[in-house]
Amino acid sequence: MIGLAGCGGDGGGDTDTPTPEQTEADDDVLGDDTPTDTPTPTPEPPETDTPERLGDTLVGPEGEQVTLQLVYATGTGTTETQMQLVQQLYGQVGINVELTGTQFNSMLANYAQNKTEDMSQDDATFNAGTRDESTSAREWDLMGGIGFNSYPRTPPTIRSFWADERKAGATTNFYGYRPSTEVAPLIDEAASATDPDVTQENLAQVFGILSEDQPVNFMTFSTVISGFRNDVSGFTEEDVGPSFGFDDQTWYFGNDASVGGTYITGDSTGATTLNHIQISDQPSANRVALTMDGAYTLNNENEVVPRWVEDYDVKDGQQTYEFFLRDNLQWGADFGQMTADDWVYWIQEVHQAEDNWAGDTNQSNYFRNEEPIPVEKTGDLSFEFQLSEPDPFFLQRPIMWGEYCMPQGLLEEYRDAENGGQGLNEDDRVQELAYTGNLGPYEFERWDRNSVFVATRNDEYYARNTVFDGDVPYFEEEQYQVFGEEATRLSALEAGDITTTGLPADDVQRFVDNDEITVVRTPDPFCGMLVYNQRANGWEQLRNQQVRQALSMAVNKVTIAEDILRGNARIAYTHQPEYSDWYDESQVTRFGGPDSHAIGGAQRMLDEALPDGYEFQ
Amino acid sequence: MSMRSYVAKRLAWTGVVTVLVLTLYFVMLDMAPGGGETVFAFQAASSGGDPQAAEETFRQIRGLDRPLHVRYVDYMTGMLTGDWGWSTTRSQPVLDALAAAYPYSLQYALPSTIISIIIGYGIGLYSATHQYELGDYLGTFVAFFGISIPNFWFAIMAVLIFAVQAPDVTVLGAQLLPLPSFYQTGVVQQYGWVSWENARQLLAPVVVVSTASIAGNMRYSRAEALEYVHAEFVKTARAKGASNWRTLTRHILRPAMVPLMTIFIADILGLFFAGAFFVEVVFQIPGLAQLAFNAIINQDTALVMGTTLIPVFIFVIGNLLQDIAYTVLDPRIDYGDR
Repeated sequence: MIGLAGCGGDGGGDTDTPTPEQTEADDDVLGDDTPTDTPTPTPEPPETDTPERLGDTLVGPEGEQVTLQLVYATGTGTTETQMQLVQQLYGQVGINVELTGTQFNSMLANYAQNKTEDMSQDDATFNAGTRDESTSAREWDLMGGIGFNSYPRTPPTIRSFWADERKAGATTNFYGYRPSTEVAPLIDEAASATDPDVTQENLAQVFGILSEDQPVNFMTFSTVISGFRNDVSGFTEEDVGPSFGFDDQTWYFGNDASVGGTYITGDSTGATTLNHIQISDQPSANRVALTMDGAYTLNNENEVVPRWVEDYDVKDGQQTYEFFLRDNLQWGADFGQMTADDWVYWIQEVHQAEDNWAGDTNQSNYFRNEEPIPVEKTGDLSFEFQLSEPDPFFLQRPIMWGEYCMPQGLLEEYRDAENGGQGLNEDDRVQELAYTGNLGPYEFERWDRNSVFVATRNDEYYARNTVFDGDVPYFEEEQYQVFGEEATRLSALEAGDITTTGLPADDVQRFVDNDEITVVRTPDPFCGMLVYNQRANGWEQLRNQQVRQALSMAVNKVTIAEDILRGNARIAYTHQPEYSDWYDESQVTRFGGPDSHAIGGAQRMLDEALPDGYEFQ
Repeated sequence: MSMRSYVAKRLAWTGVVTVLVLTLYFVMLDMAPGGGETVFAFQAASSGGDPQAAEETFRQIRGLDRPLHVRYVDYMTGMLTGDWGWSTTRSQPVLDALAAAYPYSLQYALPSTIISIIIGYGIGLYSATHQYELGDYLGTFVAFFGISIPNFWFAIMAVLIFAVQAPDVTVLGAQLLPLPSFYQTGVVQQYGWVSWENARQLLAPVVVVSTASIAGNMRYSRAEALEYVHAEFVKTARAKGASNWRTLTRHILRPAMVPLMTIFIADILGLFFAGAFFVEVVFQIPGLAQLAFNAIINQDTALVMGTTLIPVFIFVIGNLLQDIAYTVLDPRIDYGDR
């Protein structure tokens, strides 16, 4: 998965953005997005055909079997296997499914992006118009191999997925979903409610509506699986959660917390840039995170954990957020102390710059209703954001959470220069993170592209004996080593040549059985799903809620979670994991779970929901 | 037309071909779908951002925010003036990227090429002069083994056997096994290019690359040499009392070298832009093959152009050198009238 710039690489779910379905402990924090060499064989679906089936074939008004086009993103063997299972199960229902595998990029461009007849292809976007007017370049009915972040930290962020496709802000509703009950007002109210009960109630209702409506088949929440060499200490099972590793400065080798050793993370892709303004990928963010802590981080309980920001104040009914910087933060490259001036300049002249001269990939977070969020210096080391309306989720948004900064003096050199963004990009102080001073646990040592990023222990680390007790960090050196081939990466972990890496779900058992390796499973907020196309170029019956429910019922999620993903995923029923504070069991309708009536039940629902002309034969 | 004019004409064509290929690549890359722009826009949209603004930012970062013809003129001008552009996926100048990757490829390609030429041609000539004897069968087995075994699989097996499963083995006090499971650039930083530590981590890649190319050289040289082993002039030489060595080197190898020169020069020139993709991927060598492949996959236009230009240039020049080599080896060949 790919994180937004400025989020300190803590692996926090909410900073990660939608991407191909994550089902193999992939690529995000530690993992890999290399295709698996041997796709998992399609398991036999369980015999759960009660009540009795109505026939073998669902025939449409034209007298031909109903055939659906299922497009899916290739890349992981398990995705292909899941789609084959869907094909088999729908086949049992009586529906023929034609599979088309394509790259994720192409899937988004050709099937998800849509446009109206009078628009050019360049103007195509993910919701370019109403579902009757705007359609994708290629026809499709079902889409798999895609996952949407459920944002359990900041659930109002899911609004763009589920708001009625005719509403403003439904920017990712490419499938043309119209909720049976409006969810946008509920989400909007939850986003600004100062009463936690209102937020709780509204969100629970939203997730209930989604589970009932089945705009997509919510299939599974994946798990990030990581393998560590056994000599890594400093964390226990209790530390495993959504923010696992947020305090990895305190990890060490052996039994005693003493300085020594090189900690090497095996990564499947390399960094693209160290200019954090332009970072849009997790590997790059991870490298920068070694040299800078960021404003603050969040722990597994979603609480603010101070880093550069020593304290914060929430005022005016959650409309004003003031932050107080520590007084021992020093830039490198002779830029002096980090002050509020640096932050205000950074936010106003980079994140909120109208011309986006620096190529900032994270600008949208610093605007509300297309207006920049006012930010003001309140002291030498303090500044505040003044929101136009309350936002109880502000601290959990990737605005100040994990946010980095740059010295004002450095930015001023390029702010008004011709091609200033590229100039800043090429500046040695940015290329070598020389300005990071004492702001992170490690200092940049070298970056061998497509090979290794090396950072050495920062002797001046500001957090030593302040934020953390003890002589942190305990590793002399940290490295990110890139591997183009998964087999080599896993072999390197087995051989002890690297310290940690992500493990594929279908090959995790041999590491569990290895006494020298500890396997850690971290919950992932991405929901793998099968999307139903409700636009004009999809099967028109997919606009019928009951038809979608029937199709969701037919797919046995237990088989997917337990057999295809080898127990490394949790079943999903709505766009929120069960561990989330916002998940309310009593409001969620379950389709496709262990108690599902599967094929026979799906057929009966379809029989009831489909108009005259459709019949089972 | 003299030989000099012929060469000048061919060199001029080299320039034309290079420009044509570069132009073609430039246009094709611009037209190619994907490139991350759509994914980037989707990410922005799904977190509440404006997808169209995100696309603009993406194009700005990638340097794609100007019209195609403006970028083309800029790029071609830059190529002529030594500014080959900026790699957006590596955040460094293209020339720096090429310069950084080249030594990593050369360090395994050079020994592999030397080994495969010497051993491949050696076994091939031996097989030809000992046709249907035990040595010939053995050589043929080696060749077919090398051709048949997939490099990718062989490389992964080498990692598993010699890095993961191998016991500790030391030779003259230096550790030989287990080998490192992947190529570590830090070894070069610490011990230098020419060091036992670096040689150790190149052992498996060199063996894997050599195995395949030895086979090719062996089969070609055997086939070519066989044409002359029973030739009248070879029999005459033998009848006149020429030693086996003299017969082999002067009367068999020399005429056989004309067609073999095609491979030989290709091997040598290949060193200027060497890279065995699968080997680099499996052993994680950050060389030219990975550089070129990743550039294409990530649609890093400037880097694709840079990694394209050199092999195109070498290919065209290589053809010319081969033609010239033929005239040196076989005086009957003449390009005077072409």
